[in-house]
Amino acid sequence: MKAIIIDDENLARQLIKTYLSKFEEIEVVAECADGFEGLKAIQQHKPNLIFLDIQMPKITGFEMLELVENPPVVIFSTAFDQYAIKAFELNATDYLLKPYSETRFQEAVKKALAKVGQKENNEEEFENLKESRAQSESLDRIVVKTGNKIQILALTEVHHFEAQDDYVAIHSIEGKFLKLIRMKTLEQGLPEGDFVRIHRSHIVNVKEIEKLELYEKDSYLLYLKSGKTLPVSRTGHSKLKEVLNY
Amino acid sequence: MQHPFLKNKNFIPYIVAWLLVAAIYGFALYSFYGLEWKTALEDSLVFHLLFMGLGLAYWFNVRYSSFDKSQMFNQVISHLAAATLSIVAGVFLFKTIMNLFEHEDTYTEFMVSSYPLRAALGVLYYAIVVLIYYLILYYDDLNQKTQRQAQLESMLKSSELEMLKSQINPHFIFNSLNSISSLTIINPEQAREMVVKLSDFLRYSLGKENHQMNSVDDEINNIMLYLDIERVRFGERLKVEKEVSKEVKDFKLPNLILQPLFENSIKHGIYESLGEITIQLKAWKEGGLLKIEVSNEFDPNAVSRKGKGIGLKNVSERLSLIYGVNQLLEVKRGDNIFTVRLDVPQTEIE
Repeated sequence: MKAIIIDDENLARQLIKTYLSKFEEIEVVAECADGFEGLKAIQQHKPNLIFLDIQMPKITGFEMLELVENPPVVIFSTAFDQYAIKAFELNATDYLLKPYSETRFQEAVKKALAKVGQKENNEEEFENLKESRAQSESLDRIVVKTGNKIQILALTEVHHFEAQDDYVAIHSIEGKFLKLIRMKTLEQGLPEGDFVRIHRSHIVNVKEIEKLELYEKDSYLLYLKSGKTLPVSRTGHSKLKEVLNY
Repeated sequence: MQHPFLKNKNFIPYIVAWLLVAAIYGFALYSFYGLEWKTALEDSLVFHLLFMGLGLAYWFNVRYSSFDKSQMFNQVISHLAAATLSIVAGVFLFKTIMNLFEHEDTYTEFMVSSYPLRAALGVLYYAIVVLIYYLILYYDDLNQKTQRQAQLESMLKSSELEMLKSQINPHFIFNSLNSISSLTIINPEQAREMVVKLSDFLRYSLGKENHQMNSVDDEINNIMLYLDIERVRFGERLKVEKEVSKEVKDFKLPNLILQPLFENSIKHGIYESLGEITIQLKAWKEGGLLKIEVSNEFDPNAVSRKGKGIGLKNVSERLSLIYGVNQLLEVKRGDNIFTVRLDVPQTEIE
C-alpha cells in the first residue's frame, strides 16, 4: 500500500515516517513540503493514503485536495484551525491534532486502512467535508488547475460562476477556469453580500453588475461589466433585491 | 456620609456665616427699631445661635431623604413638618431665654410683635440651610461620578491595551510542540534545547504586565528566541539578519510590541512562499527617537489569505494609546520587500 506525506515542516514529516515504520504494509512513496509538490506526487504515484497538513505555504491542504480527482483516503493533521476542526467533527474524516500520541496515530491509520478500497464512500465523504467547511468558513480565494498549472484566484477577480454539469466555470479577469465543485457548496462558501446566486446555474459578483433589465413579466436580465448577459430567476431577483437594497 | 459641617474644620465657616448674619440683624434692630445696642446684640445672638443649632439638625432631614421622584410627596411633607416644628421650637426657646434677661418694657412689646417676622425668618433660614445641604450632596455625588468615570476610562484603556497586546499564536505553540515530539526520536539533545527555548520565550511573553516598558536588549533577545524556534521548524528556509546599534540597547519600548511584526513577517514571508525568506531587523537612534525596522521578503504573486493588516493596526493603536501620538508606525511595500518601521519616543512613561 502506498502513502504520501505532505507537510511543510521536515520534523513533522519525520515523525509520521517514524510512526509509520511500524506498519509493514505501508510504503511511503513520497514526502512533499507543499501542496504543489503534493499534487504532482499524487498524480504520479496514485497513493492509497495521504497524510495532509492543512496550513502550508501558498495553498492549504484543503485547497490542494480540491484539485485532486478521485482523492485517496486522507488523514489530516493540523496544529490549530478552528474551522477545519469544526468541519472534521461534522464528518467521519479523521484528523490528528498536533502534537499527537503514537497511540492516536495508530488508531487513525487503522481506521484509514479499513477505508482504503471503499472508493465511493470516500468520494461522498469528501464532498460532505467540502460542504461543511464551506458552511463554517467563508472563502477569500479559489484555487484552480489548468493542465499542470495551479492558479490562485482572489474572489475580487471573479466576475461570475456558471454551473457546467459536475463542474463550475469560473469567469475571472484571468480568464475562464473549470473546478469540480457543487454550486450549492460553492454558494455556501462565498462571502454573503459579495456574491448572489441569481439563477440555478449562475452566481454573480455584486461589484461586477452593470444593470438589471426587465425582460418579460417576472423575468429579468442582468448585464455585467464584463459584457456578459445572464438570466435572473424569480428567487434570484428577490435575493438581488435584498443584497442591493432597492 | 458624615455631617458636612461637623467633619474636618467645616464648622468654622458655618459659625462665621451665622455670626455674620447675626451681626447684620443686630445692626438692623439697633438702627431701624431703635433698640439699645446691647439689647439688639442679645436678641440677635440668641435668635441666631438657636437657628445655628437647629440648622445642624436639618441635615438629617436632607441626608435620609432621596432624590427619587416617587418620594417627592413624602419629602415635601417631611420638610414642611420639620420647618414648622423647628420654627415653633426656635421661637419658643428664644422667648424663654430672652425672658431670663431683664429688659425695658418697650423691648417686651417689640418681642411679642416680632413673632410673625421671626417665624418668616425661620422659614427663610430653613430654606437656605436645606438648599445648601442639597447643594453639598449634589456636588459630592457629582464628584463621585466623575471619579468613577475616570476610573472606568482608565480601566477601559488598560483592557484595550490588553486586547491589543500581542497574543501568542496558538498555531506557533502547537506546531513547536509537535516539532519537539519529533525531535525526541530523531535528536533528543536538540529536543531538550528547544524545550528550554520555548520555555524561556513563554516565560518572558506570558509574564508581562500591560504598561511595562522593557529594554531593547530584552525585547530583541526574546524575538531571537522566537525566531530560533521557528528556524527549527522551517530549517534553511528562514534567514535572519540583525543590526542593532549599541547606543539603543537600553532604550525602552512597550513589551512584546515587536512580536506581531515578526509573526507577520513569518506569516506573509514563510507561509506564502516556497523558497528562502530573509527577515531583517534594524534598530538605531535618530533625533531622540528609537527607530526599529522589521522587513521581510515576500512573494509578490501570492494571493494572501484573510486577516491581513490587523496585527499591524493593533501595534499602531497600542503605540498611540501609550504615547498619545499617532503615526508611530510606518509601512512600506516594495516589489518583494515589506518593511514596517516603528518610531518609539524615549520619554519616561508610567
